[in-house]
Amino acid sequence: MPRSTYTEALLGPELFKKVKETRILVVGAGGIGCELLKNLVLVGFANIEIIDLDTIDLSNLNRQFLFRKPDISKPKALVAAATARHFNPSSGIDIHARHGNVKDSVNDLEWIKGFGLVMNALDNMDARRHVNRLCQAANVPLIESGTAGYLGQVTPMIKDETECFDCVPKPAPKSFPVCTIRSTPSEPIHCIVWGKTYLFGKLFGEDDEDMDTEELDKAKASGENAEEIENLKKEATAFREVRKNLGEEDGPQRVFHKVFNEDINRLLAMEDMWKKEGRIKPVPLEHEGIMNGTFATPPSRQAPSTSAPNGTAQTNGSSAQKKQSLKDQRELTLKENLELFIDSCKRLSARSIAYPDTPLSFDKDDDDTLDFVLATANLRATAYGIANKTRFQVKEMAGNIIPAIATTNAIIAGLIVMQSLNILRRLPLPSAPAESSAGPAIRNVFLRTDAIKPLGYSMPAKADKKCSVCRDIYVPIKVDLEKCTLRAFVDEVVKGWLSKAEFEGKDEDEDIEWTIFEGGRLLADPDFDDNHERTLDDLDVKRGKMLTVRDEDGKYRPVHFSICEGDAQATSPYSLPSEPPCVPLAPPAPASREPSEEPIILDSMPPPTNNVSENTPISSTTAVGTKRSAPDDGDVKGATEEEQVVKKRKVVVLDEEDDFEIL
Amino acid sequence: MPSSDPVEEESRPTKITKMDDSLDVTSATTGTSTIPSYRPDAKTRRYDRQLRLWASAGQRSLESARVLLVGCDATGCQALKNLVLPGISHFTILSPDLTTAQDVATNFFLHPDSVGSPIAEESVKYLKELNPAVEGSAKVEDPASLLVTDPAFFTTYTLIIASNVIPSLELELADLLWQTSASVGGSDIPLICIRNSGFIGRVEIQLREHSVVDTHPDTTHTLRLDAPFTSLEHHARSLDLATMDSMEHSHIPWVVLLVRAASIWKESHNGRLPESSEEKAEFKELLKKDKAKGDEENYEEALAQAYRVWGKSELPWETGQILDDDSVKNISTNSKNLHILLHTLSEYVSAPPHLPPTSPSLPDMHSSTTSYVHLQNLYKQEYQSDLKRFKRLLSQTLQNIGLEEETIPDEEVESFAKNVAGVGIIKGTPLRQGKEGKGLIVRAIEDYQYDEYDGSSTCFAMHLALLAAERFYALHKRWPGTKSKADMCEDNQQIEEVLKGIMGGKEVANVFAESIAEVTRGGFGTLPTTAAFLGGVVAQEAIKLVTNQYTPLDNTVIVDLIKSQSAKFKF
Repeated sequence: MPRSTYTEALLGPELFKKVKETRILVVGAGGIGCELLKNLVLVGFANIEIIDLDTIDLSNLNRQFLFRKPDISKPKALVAAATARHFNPSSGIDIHARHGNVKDSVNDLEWIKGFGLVMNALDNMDARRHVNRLCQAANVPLIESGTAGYLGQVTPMIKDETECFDCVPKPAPKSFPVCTIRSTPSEPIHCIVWGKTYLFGKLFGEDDEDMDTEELDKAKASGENAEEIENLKKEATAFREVRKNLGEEDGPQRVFHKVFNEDINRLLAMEDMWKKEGRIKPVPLEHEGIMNGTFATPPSRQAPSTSAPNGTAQTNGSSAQKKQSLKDQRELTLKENLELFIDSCKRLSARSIAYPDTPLSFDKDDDDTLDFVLATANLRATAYGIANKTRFQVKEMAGNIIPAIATTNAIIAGLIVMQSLNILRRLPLPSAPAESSAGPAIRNVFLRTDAIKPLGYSMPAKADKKCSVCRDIYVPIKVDLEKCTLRAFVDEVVKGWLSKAEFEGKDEDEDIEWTIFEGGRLLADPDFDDNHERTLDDLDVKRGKMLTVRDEDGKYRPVHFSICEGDAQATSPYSLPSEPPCVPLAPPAPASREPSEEPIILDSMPPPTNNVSENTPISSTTAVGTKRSAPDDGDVKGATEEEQVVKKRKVVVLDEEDDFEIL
Repeated sequence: MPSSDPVEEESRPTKITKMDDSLDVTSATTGTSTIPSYRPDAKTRRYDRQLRLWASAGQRSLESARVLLVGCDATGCQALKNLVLPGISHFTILSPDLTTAQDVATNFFLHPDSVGSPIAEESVKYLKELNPAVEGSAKVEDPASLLVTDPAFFTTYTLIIASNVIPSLELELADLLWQTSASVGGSDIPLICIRNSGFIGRVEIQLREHSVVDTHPDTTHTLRLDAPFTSLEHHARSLDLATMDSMEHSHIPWVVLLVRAASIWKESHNGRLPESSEEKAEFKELLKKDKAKGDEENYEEALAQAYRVWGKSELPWETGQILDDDSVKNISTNSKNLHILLHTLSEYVSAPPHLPPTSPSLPDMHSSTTSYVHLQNLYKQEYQSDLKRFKRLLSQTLQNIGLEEETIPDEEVESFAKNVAGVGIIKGTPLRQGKEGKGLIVRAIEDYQYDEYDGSSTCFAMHLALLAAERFYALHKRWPGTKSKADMCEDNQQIEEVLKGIMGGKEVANVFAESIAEVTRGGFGTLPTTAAFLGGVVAQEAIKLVTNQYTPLDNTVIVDLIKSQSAKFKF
C-alpha cells in the first residue's frame, strides 16, 4: 500500500506532487532540525539535503530525538539522516546529509539555487544572516525559525514580498568596559567574562599579542584610564612567560600566583583607582594559606543571597521531601576552587601539549574548559569580595545558554512544515514550471506562554526599502578564477556588460564611475587600478564570495557578483546571465551598513604569490587610510574593533541555544 | 531503534576532546589521578537545558510521573515522545489494535516490519529507545472493557492522555477520573483528550482542581512604594540630598527616591497619594526638581517607575479569589499543604497592612553597590520578620486542625511566602458537561456572533463541528468523511442537522458549513504535521500539570493549521 494516500488526498494531487518533487534544504540538525526532518519525511518530501557542522553532545538528548547515547560525538547531520532513513526504508526518499559549515565556499549561489525552498533550523545569528543573504541573492524562499524555552517563532521570507532577516535590526548583546573586566569587576558576570574571554585565551587560546595591544590602545583612545592601560600591557607581557612554563609540574601554581596575587598587588599599587565611590579593593590570594586553612577569606561586599540558586518552585507533595541539591548546584569552598583551578589548568595544558596546533576555545559542554572558567571566576570573585556562583549558574552565564525543550521544538517544526505547504502551493512545479496556484496566505507564527492564546500570527511585513541585503542586486558569475584578472572584470564585466543594464532614472549622458569591493576591501576605483593585472584568485576572491560594484555617487543600488565555480568547458574565463539586471535607485538616506560584511582589517590580505612582483601594492593597505570611503564602509573604519564585533553578532531574541559570546 | 551508523566522518578540524574523552587525554599524557569531581552526573547533563526552565523541583515531579496513553496513534505517540525525552518515570500504552500500513505511514514510532503486530507493543518498543531512564509498557486490551473490569488500573496513573479514541470511551474515562478526584485529599488525575481531523486539531483538558505553585508571573517584587514599611520609609527620609556629593546623589536607588517623594507628598496631602493626572504630573515635577544634573540615570529610572507609586500595593485579585474558595476556607487534616498555606495567608492578610509577606528580592537598578546592598538588606529584614509572623500563624492553624507543626517543610513555607503572587488554583469542569451541551457552552452559543477578523470565532465554529461529528459517530459508529466521496455531502448534511440541534434553534451561519466541510474533509485521519504540532501542545500541558508550574490551558483549545489560528475556551 502506498504510504501517503491519506496525506496525498488531503493535500491534493498538485500540492503533493510539489512536495515530492521540490528539493528542500534544511540548515541545522539540532532541536528544530531533528523534528523538522521527521515531519518532512512523514509528509512525503522526498528530496532533502541537511547540513550541520556540529557533533552530538549528551545535553542534546533531552530533545534531539534522532540521536542516542552511542551517537555522542558523531556528526549530527549524518546521524539524523541515518535514523530518519531507517524508519522509511522503502519510500524512495532521498536525504543527502552533509557534515559541514553552510558558510563553506562550496555552498555558493549556484548551490542554493538548486533548492526550491530553504528551512533554517539554526542556533546562531551569523549563519542565519549568511543563509538569508544567499536566499535573497538566489531568490529562493526561506523559512526562518527559532525557539527559546517555551517561546518560538516561524517566519517565512520571500524576496520582494516579505521582509528579510536583515530588514529588522537585532538588539546588540551586552558588553562591558575593558577596565571593568580586567581591573575593577563588581559583579559575578565580570569575573566570568574575564575567566572565559581573557584568562582562558591568554593561557590556552591563540596567542594574539597584536590584537591585545590594539584592543588596549583603543580603550585608551576612547578615554579609559591611561595608567591602568599601561599596567595591563605589562601584565600581558608577563603572561607569555607563565604560558611557556604551563606544562611544568608547578606551572599552574605559578599561574595562580601571578594572576591572583602579583597582578592584584600591582593593581592595589595604583592608589587613585580605588578612590572612586563604590570601588572595593581586592585582596591578593595566597596558595599556601588557602591550602592549609590559614587564609582569611575576604569579606563579601554583598549580603548573602536568600534565594535558592535554582528557582523556587516546589512540589506540592504533602510528604516532607528533603531538597536534594544537585551536585553542580552547590557552591564550592575557596580551597575546592583553588584545587579545581590547578587541576583544570593541568588538564587543559595537557591538551595543549598533545595538540599544539589546535588552540583551545571555551565550550560550555567541554568540562575542562568549564571547570577552568568556574574556578577562575570564583577565585577572582573571592578576591574582589563578590558572591561566588555554582557550576550550574556559571555554565548558563558563560555559555549564554538558552533553555531548550522537546515540546517547543515539536510545535515549531510542525508550524514550519505548515508554512512550507503554503509556500509550495504558490510555487511552480519543478516538472511543470508554468503552473502555480493560490492558497492560504503565508504567516509569521509565534508561540507564546499565554494561557489564553498560545499561538499568535501576523502578516509578514514588507521589505525595508533601505535594507542592504534584500534590496541590492545579485548576479551570479561563473569564473575561472586563475584566468580572470581584475582588469577583465572591471573592463568587460562592469564597464561592458553591466553598463548595458537599465539604470533607474539614468540621464542620457550620465557617465557612471565604478568602485569594486570584496567584503569590506576596496579592490579598484577610477583612480586606483594597482590590482588590475592580478587574477581574482590571487586577490583571494574565491568561490562563494562576492564582488560588489558601487557607483561613485551612491546613486544606485550596489550590484553584487556572486562568484560561482567556472564552467569546465567554457572558452571564456567567465560567464554571465544573458540579460543584465535592472538597477534601481538607492534610497535617499544613506543605506544602512551591510551587516554581513567583514570589517576592514588591514592585514587580512594574503601575501602576494610569487608570480606577482613584490611591489604590487595590495589595495586595502594603500586604499583604506587615504581613499574617501564607499557609501557604507565609513562607519566600519570609524568603529572600534569591539563595536565591529558587536555589530557583527547582534542577537535575535529567539534563538535556540545561542552560542553568542558575551563581549 | 538500532543506533544509526553514519558514513565516515569527513576529516576536518574540530574541537579536539569533549566530555569523557578528555579524561583519557589527561591520563594518557600526564598520568594524573582521578580528578575531584564537582561535575553533574550524566542525568543532570542530559537534562541541563530543561532544568533551566522548570528547575530541579519540576524535574523531580516529572521523574515521578506515570502517564497512560489510551489509543495509539501518531498524535498520541508524538505527545509521549515529548514526555519520554525530558524523563517521566513511566508510560503505558493501552490499545487492542494491530498495526496497519496506514499507521506506519503517519506514526514515526513504527517500522514497516510492525505491520500486523500489536501497535501498543511496537510503539512502546521504539519510544523506550528515546530515553533509557524511562519505563514503558504496553497493555493490549480493549479500554472500554477494562474500564468495567478493572477501573483501578486507570487511577494508578498521574495523568491520562486519550488520543482520538471513540467519544463514548472518552466520556466514560472522564467520568471515572472526575469521580475519583471528588473526595477531598483524593488523587487528582487530569485527563487530556485529543481529537484531530486533517488540519484541524483540538485538545481538551479535564481537571477537577489543579494547584499551581509557581505560575511564573512577570514580576514578584512587592516593592510597597505607596505603603513602605517603617525601616524603608525611615531610610528614605533620612537621606540628606542637599549635602550629598554628586556621585552619591546620582546613585540613590530609584526605589528610595520614590518612597521618599511619596512620603513627602502624603504629608502635604492629608495622607493621600497622587490621584488625578494633574497630581501625578505634579508629583513627577517635584521629583525632577531634586535632580541635580540633567543626566542622572537614577532619576530617569524613578520617573519611569513613578506609576508604581499610585499603583496600590494589595493582595493580587486572583489570590484574593482563591482565598475565598471553600477548599481554602474550610481546611482539615486531609487538606493539601497549599490549601493550609493559603488558609494561613488569609488570616495573615486580615491584619494590617493587609498585604502578603514582603518579597525579599529587588529588581536591578542604577545604584552604587553599597546603597543597593543596604536597600536589599532592608527588604530582606522585613521579609524575615513577615515570615516569622506567617510561621506563627501557620503553626496555630496546624494545631487547630490537629496536625504537627512540622507537617509542612520550612522550605515549602518559605517559597510560598516569597511567591504568593505566583500561586494559583484552577477549578475545572467535567468533560461530560460541555460534550452534552450543558454549562458554560450554553452561554457561549447564545452569545455567539461570527466575526471574520476574530480567529476565535472561526475556532468556536470548528469546535461545534467536531462536537456534532462526535454525535454523528455515536449514531453511525463511523466518522464522517470516511466512506466514499459521494457520501461526503450526505455526511455534511447530517452533521449540520446535529449542529442545529446543539445550537438550539439559533441561526447557523455559513462559517459552520465551512467548518463542517473542513472537518469532514479531514476524515478524522492524522496528518503528520498536525500530529507533530498537537503532540507538542499536549506534552507541554502535561508537563505544566505534572510539575505544578505555569498555568495550564483550561480547558479546550482548537487549532486550525491552515489559517495558523488557535483559540482557547472554557466550557
